[in-house]
Amino acid sequence: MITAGIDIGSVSTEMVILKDGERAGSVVIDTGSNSKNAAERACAQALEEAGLRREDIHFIVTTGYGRKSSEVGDMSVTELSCHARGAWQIDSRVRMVIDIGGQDSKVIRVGESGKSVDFVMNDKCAAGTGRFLEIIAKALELQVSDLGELALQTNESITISSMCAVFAESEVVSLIAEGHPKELIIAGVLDSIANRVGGMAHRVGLAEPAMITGGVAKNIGMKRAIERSLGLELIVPDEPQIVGAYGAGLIAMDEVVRAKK
Amino acid sequence: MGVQERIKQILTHKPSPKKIARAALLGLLQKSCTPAGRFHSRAHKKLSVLSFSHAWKFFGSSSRSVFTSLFSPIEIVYAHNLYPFMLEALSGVAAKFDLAKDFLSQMERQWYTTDFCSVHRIFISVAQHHLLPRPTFLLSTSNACDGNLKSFGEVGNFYSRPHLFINVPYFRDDESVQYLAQQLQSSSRQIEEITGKKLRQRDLERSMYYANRASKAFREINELRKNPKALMYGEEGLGLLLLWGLFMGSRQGAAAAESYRDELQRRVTSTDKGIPVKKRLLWLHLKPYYDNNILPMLEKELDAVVVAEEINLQPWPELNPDDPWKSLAQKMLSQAWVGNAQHRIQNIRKAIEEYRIDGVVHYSHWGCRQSNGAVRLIRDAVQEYGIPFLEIDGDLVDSRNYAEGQIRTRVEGFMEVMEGA
Repeated sequence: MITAGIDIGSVSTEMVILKDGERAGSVVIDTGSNSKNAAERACAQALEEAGLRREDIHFIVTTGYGRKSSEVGDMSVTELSCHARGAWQIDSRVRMVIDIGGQDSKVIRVGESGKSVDFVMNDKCAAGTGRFLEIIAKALELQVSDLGELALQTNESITISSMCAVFAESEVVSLIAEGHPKELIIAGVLDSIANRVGGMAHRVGLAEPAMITGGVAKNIGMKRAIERSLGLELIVPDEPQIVGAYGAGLIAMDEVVRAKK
Repeated sequence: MGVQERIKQILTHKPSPKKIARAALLGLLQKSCTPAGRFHSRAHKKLSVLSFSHAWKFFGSSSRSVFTSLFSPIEIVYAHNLYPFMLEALSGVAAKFDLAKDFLSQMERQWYTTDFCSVHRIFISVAQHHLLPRPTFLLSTSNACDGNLKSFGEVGNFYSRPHLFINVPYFRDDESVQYLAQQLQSSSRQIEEITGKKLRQRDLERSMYYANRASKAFREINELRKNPKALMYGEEGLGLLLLWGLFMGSRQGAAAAESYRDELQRRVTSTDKGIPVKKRLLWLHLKPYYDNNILPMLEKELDAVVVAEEINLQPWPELNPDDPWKSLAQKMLSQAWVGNAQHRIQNIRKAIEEYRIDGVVHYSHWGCRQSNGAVRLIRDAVQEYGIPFLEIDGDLVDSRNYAEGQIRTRVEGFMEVMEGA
């Protein structure tokens, strides 16, 4: 049985193809301005790489903010359920998932069977999301991928007092102009995001083990900052950015199994 | 041009109370001519017609208009043969016609803090624009919303009309009942002084008679809605506050409440399958009044139907014309919103059990500290039942922070949690 999941996010789109639940291929592409096209492009690319045709796939689940606009999938499921399912499949002990996405962040409580049982989302404000990191990286004339390692070069940080991403950017520009080291500024920015995420995790109720998913999980400085904020260790899967799509593929498989019964 | 557009044009082009009365008359004619099938129900059509008719009278006859707040004891207003008009409803209408942001920006220009409830800011702005008839007086209470003291005071000052403010005590003991009853009696005396007309016992009895009929109908409605069938959508149920907030104590109010009860009774016995329902929801606080898709998404797309609304879950006790002030005080103190949040939580627990609730939604209106302050306690209580709780942050009347995509993820995620539970 071949199933697939497509996670159409605001920044990137991921597709994972599963053969009997095992990963048979995956792609990550930029979403660009058209999420509908992104799903089609990801699908075409993933099928080519796996040497498959669309009709070989029994069921596709789409997720992410573009899940409804895509015509590729057979069913859409929220990223809340998909991240929970994907994380649980990777490590069935996982009871909490932190996903920092491009335009929102979320903390999901995972039940014993891998389903989302509660969640809290921040999507009213860019602070606390991947978008915030992009803005700050741009202000510092760095790549987002550089931020994590640079933050680890110091044990201190500068407090970023602005709660708003736009004002925080201005604050960072002022700090640069005042000659503060970039590492301290970055550490301060990551601490500020970690505090936001920490607040959400406490709202939904801390639970261990906890996993961090989404592209931001690859940022080692971010991971450490959240760990400090929560006082617990986070599991980082090998490919955190595809956990949502992986979960969607697994839910697609569950659907096929359910339909056969 | 459709009637809705025509009404909006009247409301936006140099409006005045007289022009608004004309817009209300247009609305009244439109609602009267619209077939009942286009409404949620025949009872809903009656309530719509009644509301427009009331607005027409209110805006067209200032000598008998009284500005009231939600939970004001409007039975007294009807007993004095005056027209109560809930100012919060005006803000809802402004939101419905997409005029809220204009009023809100007017208030921002005057340095009114955006932390103050947008519903109140809008009706203050509406008053400042001379869009309301000059009231006989204003009647508000501290129940649920202590902002009333400031906002109604402000509107009262603007029109130089007296503001009768009823301080609803925190406790519900005998001393509190007596304290509240004295205030109610004293308010009635003040109304006599303002209008120069004595309250007639027969008018008080008439108002209480109709209020009791309406209360009985509301008790029966709440009982009927415990049925395994979903008898009405929450979208319609949340509209019932217009009925008791504007018409409690009037003949039309009693008839409209009875009409809803009869409609629901018919639905219980009908062989028609009725509303498809996968999950039964309890809705806490109010709904947004601007164009939005939250309830349609839940109820019509996902079949998660609101079978009970906290705002309607009141005990609706009888009034006693032989002891009017005490019984009215007891009625006011019976509401779950009075005093400690535990009363509210008890009411929610009872609803979860009696209405077989699968999930609870709290709409957290920006600035409504009275409601939002208890969310954590409510969530903990709800989760004791092993059912999910969703808090939706938003505003009742200001659409500027509403983003459907973000709401959709929360709502669908909530449904997935319910289905997985």
